Amino acid sequence: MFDIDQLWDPKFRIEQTDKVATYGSCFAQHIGRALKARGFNWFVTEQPPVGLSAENQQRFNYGVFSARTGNIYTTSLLKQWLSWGLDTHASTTEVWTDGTRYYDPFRPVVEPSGFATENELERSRQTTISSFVKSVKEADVFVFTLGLTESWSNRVTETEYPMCPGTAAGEFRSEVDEFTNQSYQQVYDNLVESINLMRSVNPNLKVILTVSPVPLTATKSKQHVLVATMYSKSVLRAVAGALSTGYEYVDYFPSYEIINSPVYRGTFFEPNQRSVNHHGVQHVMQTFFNCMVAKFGAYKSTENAEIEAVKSADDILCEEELLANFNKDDQ
Amino acid sequence: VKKICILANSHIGAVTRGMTLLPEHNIEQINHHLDFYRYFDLQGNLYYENGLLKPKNGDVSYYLNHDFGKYHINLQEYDCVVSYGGRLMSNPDGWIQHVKDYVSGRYSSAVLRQSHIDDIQSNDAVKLLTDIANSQVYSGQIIILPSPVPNEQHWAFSSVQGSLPEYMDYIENIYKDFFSTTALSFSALPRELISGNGFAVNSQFKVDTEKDFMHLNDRGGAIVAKKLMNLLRDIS
Repeated sequence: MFDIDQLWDPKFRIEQTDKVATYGSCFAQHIGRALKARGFNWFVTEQPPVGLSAENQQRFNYGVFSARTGNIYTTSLLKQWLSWGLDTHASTTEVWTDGTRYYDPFRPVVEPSGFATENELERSRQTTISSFVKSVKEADVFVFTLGLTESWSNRVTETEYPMCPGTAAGEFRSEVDEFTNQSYQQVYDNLVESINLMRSVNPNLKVILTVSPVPLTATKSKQHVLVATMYSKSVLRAVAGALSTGYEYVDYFPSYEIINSPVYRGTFFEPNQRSVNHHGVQHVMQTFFNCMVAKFGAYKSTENAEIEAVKSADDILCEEELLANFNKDDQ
Repeated sequence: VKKICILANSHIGAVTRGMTLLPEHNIEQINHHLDFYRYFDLQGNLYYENGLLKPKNGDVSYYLNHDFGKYHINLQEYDCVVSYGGRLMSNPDGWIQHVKDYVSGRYSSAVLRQSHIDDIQSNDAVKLLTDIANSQVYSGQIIILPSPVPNEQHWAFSSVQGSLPEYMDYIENIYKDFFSTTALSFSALPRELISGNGFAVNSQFKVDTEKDFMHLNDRGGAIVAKKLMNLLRDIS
């Protein structure tokens, strides 16, 4: 089954010098690393301070995505980041505090212990926004991994949070916090608007969409999480397919299918049946590059690829994993 | 008479020369025997084993044998170990970038603090001295004295505008907090060396070598020597 090939017919070649920005859900973190390990130009625009160890770079969310946005699970969240960066009228000043430390509702885990002051948080947020914009404006390729249809937003400010308030940080406010399980049309419209926004400042930008193969940890949809997962992935997959079909500069890479197809018999999942193991990650990324090479020819050799490939799939930062802890408390 | 082992690199030259500039009483009151081990990146080229500091390579082995007639440094002979330099604070790229990171406003205080702690923990001198302390074989005091930060004339500082009067306090607090959890005694750089900008050595202490922005002249060395003498005076 590992011999199955030609799973992807890439529309364009990524040159090793091309600047590739990566964002999205947890699984997107593997793409950046794999690009870097194979000698590609993973375009990281928000760099850590000098001296920060690799372990603490990860802890503080540096080098996880191209900028320190944290996970961008939904297409509406992507559009929100873009509007903050590209629309001078759009902004947010919302800050959460526990009385001593300050937390960014839109990046609740980038600072594990929160920020010291509100001003520090605001400066950090603006740094991330400007780094995000830089990555959008200067990238050759924008890789986005669609993760969720379920979203939480503030019905007063009409801003969307990556996590339900009260999970990673903040408190849940029933009068303000609103759950939405987005429809195909909502996901589609937000993604089209996002791509249009990006190409308005970077007309040559190419986009590669993937769908995270990681099932939902929890759902607010009142459906069983298994059913909710299938809805979410189906919508995301359909939207990605529609855009890939409709736009020559948008491609779809089938990481979801590679991990979840019955032919692979669940081989690529950890025993918890949710986390993708390192064999799966390696197989997905190997497929990505094999298909690229098969169509467009070989790249120069890259010595680090194998070293990076054997890294555990556990060491990615996934805010949604926090929900599993809530589940344990309930039991 | 206490016997003191001083592990150092090229920065100790200004200190030993500076000692000659100190008033007599500064030296006379120190009734200790000082052994100066000086070699390029000495702390990074030694390892600790069973009470002995051993060379990692032939060059340091040759140095110890040629200058001291020994193949290792037996710490049991010493009442105190002092490490001076070891690139702790003196790494120009690291120090200057830390200053730039501080003024950039791009980073949270927690991230900046952690970047300094990671820098300290990855330092060869700190690793070596920690090995000594953790072995519980050596019972003498272990003092770590950082070598000077870059001189204010260093070209890379030209992009840092203004002054940071709080900066050395900020740095020292991080270092002191870190070392307070270890068995090592941290002694900060003498403030008399620091320029009015608050983050670099004053130009009056620059060594008289055109492109050397790291080493102190003898007057600067005398300031460190005085600090060293004061530290050693307290050795019991």
